[in-house]
Amino acid sequence: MKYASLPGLNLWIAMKAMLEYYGNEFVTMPELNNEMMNWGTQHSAEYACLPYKVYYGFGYELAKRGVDRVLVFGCRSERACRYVDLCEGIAKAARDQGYPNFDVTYWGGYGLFKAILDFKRDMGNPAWLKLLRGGIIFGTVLTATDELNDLANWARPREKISGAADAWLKKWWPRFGEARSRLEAKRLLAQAKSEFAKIELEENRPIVPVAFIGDLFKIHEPFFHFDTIRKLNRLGLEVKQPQSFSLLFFGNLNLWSHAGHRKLFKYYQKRAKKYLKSIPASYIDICIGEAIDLIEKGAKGIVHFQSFGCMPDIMLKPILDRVARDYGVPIMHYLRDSHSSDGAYQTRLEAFADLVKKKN
Amino acid sequence: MKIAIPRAGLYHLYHSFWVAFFETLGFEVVVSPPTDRNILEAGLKIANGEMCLPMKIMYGHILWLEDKGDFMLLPQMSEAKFGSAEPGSGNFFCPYFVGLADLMAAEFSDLKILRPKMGFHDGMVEPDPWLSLAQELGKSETEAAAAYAKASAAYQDFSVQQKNIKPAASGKTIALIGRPYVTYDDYANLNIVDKLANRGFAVKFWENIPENFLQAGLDQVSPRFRSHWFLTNREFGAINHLASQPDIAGIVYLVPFNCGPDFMIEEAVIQQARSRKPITMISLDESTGEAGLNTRLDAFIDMLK
Repeated sequence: MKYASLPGLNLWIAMKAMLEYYGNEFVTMPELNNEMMNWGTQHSAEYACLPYKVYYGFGYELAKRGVDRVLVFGCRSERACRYVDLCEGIAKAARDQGYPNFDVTYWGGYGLFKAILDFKRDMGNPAWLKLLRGGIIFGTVLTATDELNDLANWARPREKISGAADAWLKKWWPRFGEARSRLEAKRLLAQAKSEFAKIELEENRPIVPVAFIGDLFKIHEPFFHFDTIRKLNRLGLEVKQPQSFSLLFFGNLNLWSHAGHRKLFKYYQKRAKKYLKSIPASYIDICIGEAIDLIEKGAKGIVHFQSFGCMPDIMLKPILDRVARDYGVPIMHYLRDSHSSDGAYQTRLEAFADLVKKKN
Repeated sequence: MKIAIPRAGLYHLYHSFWVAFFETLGFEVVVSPPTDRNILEAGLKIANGEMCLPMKIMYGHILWLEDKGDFMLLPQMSEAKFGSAEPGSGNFFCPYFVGLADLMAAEFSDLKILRPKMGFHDGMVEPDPWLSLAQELGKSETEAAAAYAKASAAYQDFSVQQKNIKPAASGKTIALIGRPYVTYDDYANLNIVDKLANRGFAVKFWENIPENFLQAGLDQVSPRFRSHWFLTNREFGAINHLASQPDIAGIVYLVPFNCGPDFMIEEAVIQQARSRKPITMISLDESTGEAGLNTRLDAFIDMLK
């Protein structure tokens, strides 16, 4: 059986390492593109949110590439928003196009133990020890690739040779997908960091930090936000983006091995309490906690990326406005749908960067 | 002390509980008037343009009530148990109603909000958040328990009242299915109930359907294709049930434009019912015109003949 995961920057790397360790085939993930978005727009509901439409097209592309099963974590919970319906929709859309065996598997919502049993069954019933080792590989790779992403985000506005940090990231990330043990992943991380230290940086360059806030799957995919992070870097802004897959995945679980993630997750929730006492959907609470934390640690503005029709984003907007007002920092909401153009967005980013720099 | 309650959103389902609870505690309850043009337009000025029509209406009601009570009641909707799907699935309220108090606190900094969690189990409102709220408002444990008991009884009475349908002279009934804040808000739905009555039809809502039939209707849908959302699943169950009822001439399915939960299943619902019963879906937003609605209803009724 051929497997794949939903898109989301580095998530697929950890999935690939784990699934291949169990002896399953993981199909190389295509990058999101306009063709997928257009196909999804034609085949999904009229006023579905943008990720919904893009994922429809993405699922169809995977089906064409021979994928039998897409694996998705964390559905059927108060945070799930439309994920369950999305998973079923993606599967149905591809099956309707002549791929009857294509399916999407999602877990969660019934308790961790049942989720683990389901997962074990889907992975071909490996021995419990092997299952555990695969999980450890997943966690180590996910955390390590997140760490690499943070380093690249930090280095990009400071690098002497433009593109050096990205080239480094592009070289090292895929290697983690080949890791077959925790030690191997750790060794790769040490090697990658050692090479990172060789990237030439301009230490005295004036850098203004800003917070980049939004729903995880969207802020981690350059396709959705027209590569905002790099655009802001080129405008002399350092983009702080603390939300990561490892934070949300392990922050939800109480695992000794990921106590740091849990602690940070709880910390963000606590910081958000002043503005949000409920959990309406998705990770709105974490987004708000991150925004407050980053501003208090020196971020000079907030860029909120939202996609048209996204209910969590609609809810997040007025609350982030309130945070920005209370802390006196500029905020830019960037709303994107399938008709948005990169050019108009660039102009807004430049104006925002000017404003933030002048205020600084 | 005055408690302000907006006549919007889930008020249309749970007002009997809310009003009885606070009145029994001895508080004055102020409810905003039925939605009208002024309320909607006030809401449109402040609500996020992407929101659905019922949320825009909600903003308008809150603006109307802003200075008319000591506290505003905006319960935080919690999980509801319905249907035979596995625990944790299909029981969630729309995020706007879960986070309504947080949204309004962000918009209106001076608003004093009461935000008890409102969850359900076996058709009953879960008591603990309401008992705690009464005590926070200075009432004794006994007073709180009495208020909860009276509110629960009022809620049950309301459910029974909802089941009384006025028969039409023609003897024909049309089922009007949709979110209660659309089907019961005459301004939002452009008086569709009167329009159907004027055309000789009695109107049946999903609240008129006994719980076990709703559940049986939902059970016809594979658990995989049930929705994540509580009200959407009730619509699904109701339409499935009504589609096989001989006394129902047709089904009108009302959907607020840009409704996050409903957009997912509207096509599935219609496909499932279409082979068994005439059904039409009408999408409503603030710019929906009355003439257009009349034409669609006339066409649908012609088809029923």
